[in-house]
Amino acid sequence: MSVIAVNSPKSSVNLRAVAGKLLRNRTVLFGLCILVVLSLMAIFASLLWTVDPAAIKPRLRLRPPSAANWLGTDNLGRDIWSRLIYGSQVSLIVGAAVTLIAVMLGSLLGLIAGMVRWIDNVLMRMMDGMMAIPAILLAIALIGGLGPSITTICVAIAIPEIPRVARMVRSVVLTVREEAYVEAAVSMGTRLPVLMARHIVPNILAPLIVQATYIASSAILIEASLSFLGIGMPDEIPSWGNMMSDARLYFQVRPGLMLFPGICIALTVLGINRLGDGLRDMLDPRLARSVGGIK
Amino acid sequence: MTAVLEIRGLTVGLTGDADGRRTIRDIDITVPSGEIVCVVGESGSGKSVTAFSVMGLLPDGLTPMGGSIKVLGEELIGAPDQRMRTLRGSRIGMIFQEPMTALNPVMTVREQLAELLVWHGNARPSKAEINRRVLAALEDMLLPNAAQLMQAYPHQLSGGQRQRVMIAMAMLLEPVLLIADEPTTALDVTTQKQILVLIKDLVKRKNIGVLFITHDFGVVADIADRVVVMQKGAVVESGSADAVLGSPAQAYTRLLIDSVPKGIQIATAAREPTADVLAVKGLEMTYGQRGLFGRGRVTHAVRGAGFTLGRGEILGVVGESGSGKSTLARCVARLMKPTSGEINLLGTDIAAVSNATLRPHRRYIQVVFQDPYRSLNPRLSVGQSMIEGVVNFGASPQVARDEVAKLLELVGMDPHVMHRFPHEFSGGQRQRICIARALASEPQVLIADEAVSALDVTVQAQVLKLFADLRSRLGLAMLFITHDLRVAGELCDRIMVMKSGEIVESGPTADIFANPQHAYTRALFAAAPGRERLQ
Repeated sequence: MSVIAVNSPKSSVNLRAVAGKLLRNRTVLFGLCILVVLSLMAIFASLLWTVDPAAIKPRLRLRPPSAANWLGTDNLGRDIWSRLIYGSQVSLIVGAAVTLIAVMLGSLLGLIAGMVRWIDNVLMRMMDGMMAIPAILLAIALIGGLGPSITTICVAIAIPEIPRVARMVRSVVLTVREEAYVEAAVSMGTRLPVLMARHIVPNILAPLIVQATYIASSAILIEASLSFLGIGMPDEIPSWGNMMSDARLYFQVRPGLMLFPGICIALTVLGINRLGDGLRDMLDPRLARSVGGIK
Repeated sequence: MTAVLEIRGLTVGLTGDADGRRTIRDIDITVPSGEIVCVVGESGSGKSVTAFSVMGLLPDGLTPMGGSIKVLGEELIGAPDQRMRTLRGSRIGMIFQEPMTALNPVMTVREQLAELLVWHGNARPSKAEINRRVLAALEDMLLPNAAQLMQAYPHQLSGGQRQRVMIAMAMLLEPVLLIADEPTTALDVTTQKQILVLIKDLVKRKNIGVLFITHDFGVVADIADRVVVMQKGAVVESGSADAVLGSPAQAYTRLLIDSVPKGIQIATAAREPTADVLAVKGLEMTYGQRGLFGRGRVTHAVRGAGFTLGRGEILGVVGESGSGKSTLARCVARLMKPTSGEINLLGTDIAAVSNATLRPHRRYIQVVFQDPYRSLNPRLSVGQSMIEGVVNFGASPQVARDEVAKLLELVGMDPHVMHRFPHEFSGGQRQRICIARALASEPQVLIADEAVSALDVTVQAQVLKLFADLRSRLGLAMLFITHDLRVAGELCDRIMVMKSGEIVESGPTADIFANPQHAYTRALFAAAPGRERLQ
């Protein structure tokens, strides 16, 4: 019987151990670095702006990089560097908000489906139905109906993610509730809410954290795609997707207009995904050989 | 008689740990042809590591550090992987504990056996040749309908058939040595008996040597020619089966032999059972449902079960896997809702009531499960797990903790262990903790569902004593579910024998042991390993 470190007892010890392992894992470290830089950019955006990102200066349009405009200007003479900084705020907010909505609602539905038999069927068929519609199409339809704003975009991207979370949580619940210790708790008269909080939810946390990172990265990608298609963030908000969309026509003149936000998106998504991969390897005892014992 | 396997001074340790602990040290074992050598020991004694060393299949992290392993004079330690692959199968056959996981679920029996012939042969044999040899191998295992069986997938076979197929695979290339790692542990006693007879017969017919790993001295008594007893990675005693079983030289060997349940009651009821605390009538449990138009499969797990249980009485429920004994236990504990019937617990019928109505009654009926490793939440301290029930029924955590401390003492554990976590305890200790936890809500009825099956024999004997002790001290009524008649015989006042969901026989333990009425009960007795030699 191997003892799995993730299950190890005292939470304070556990946290420190996990944190230590996180920092020794290169994959995670790489992802974490990118995320930290991005977060710093977003938090201190007002200090890093050199020019007002919304200021239009037609006389200075499509300028190459200079001392005043570090990365040059776009077709309306707006400063690329400042807009990139502002865009990081948008991406981070979208990623965080979508993840929060999807994880909260998804795990709630998953828990209910896993624990209550008759609701399970109804709920899961609804989730199947939602999963049959491509995420982007569903998001486009929702934004079309609700009108574009940062809130509606977050909601529209989060809704298609809910079934995925619900399914995963449900499957973990179905496995865990067959455990002998859960049955023992039932036979000791433990009420359902306590049963869930004490015995079931702790088992869901690890896969949920991993799933959350993937949701965050795909949310950032979808927001960028929607904005690029012109149905995402309103034009006055400089998001990376909007910037790429505007730059499309001027790509041959100023490739930087498109490249800089593109690189930002790619790096961000890569960083979050690496973090997720590393976390998964560490938290999933089946994949973490170094953590599990032999036979 | 030549030695097919010679192990001399074998030492295995953790890789890279030059002077640290050894998993096994200085093992000497000789397996002559035509004999069965049993390696016996409790979990952690190193018996499996010894077997894996011979196969060259040690898990990552373990390496042989010294000694030699010779099969027909050929040294295996340090032999190249390719040579080992050839030897496994052609010289050394292997069978494992769980035949379902050892067989490939997506290949038919014929394909799996044919694969061996193709890989190990020099020239690819013709299809007719393969079929002939596979059929012959299966018939050799005394499998009826071998021709049909060839086309079957593993899931379509019974446990005994699967293990026979495994043995057929191991024997297909006519090895000189067969290594059997607990090959009958996962099987029912009646099936186990058949497999043991088959292995014995094979040894005689083919003149092979068998290295047979087991934890059960009953099995040893049935088949061994020679016995090697291991403890904590070292051989403590070895010799001919008659010598070791008849007059063991070491105290540890004697302890192991004495711990084998022999079906002789260790304690009788403290007093005559009085009022019934539990009365079950006409209990039915069916799985599945008739689909539209009456199709679909319905399984009757329990049919019309009825019994009563008096205060201070221990009722044994004995049956093989699939007999419905566990379903019966889970229905009675209301971990599942029976299809119909009555479960009268202290005057209240709990068979059909809703969960909310049931809650206050739950404290009177508690369960101890089979696997002590899974019945405690690994994330909670032992104390937290134990007070859960008491707190559920209204006690403050402080009061509950004092209560639980007393119970830990009652089951023979130090109350200070409460803040520790389950993984810090051995299987036997965990089972004690589970028993203490079950007692915490002051139940009238305790259901032990195979509660000692996963434990080593010495620990099993201790836990059985604990149960008997608790019964006489607390007047607890117990429903004791087990697959092992011998264990039931040690503890129970009355025994019910179940088969295919029905109770085929019930009565006082002494009567059942002296004069079993039903043919199935008699078969169970006949199959109990070690019957002739150990009593």
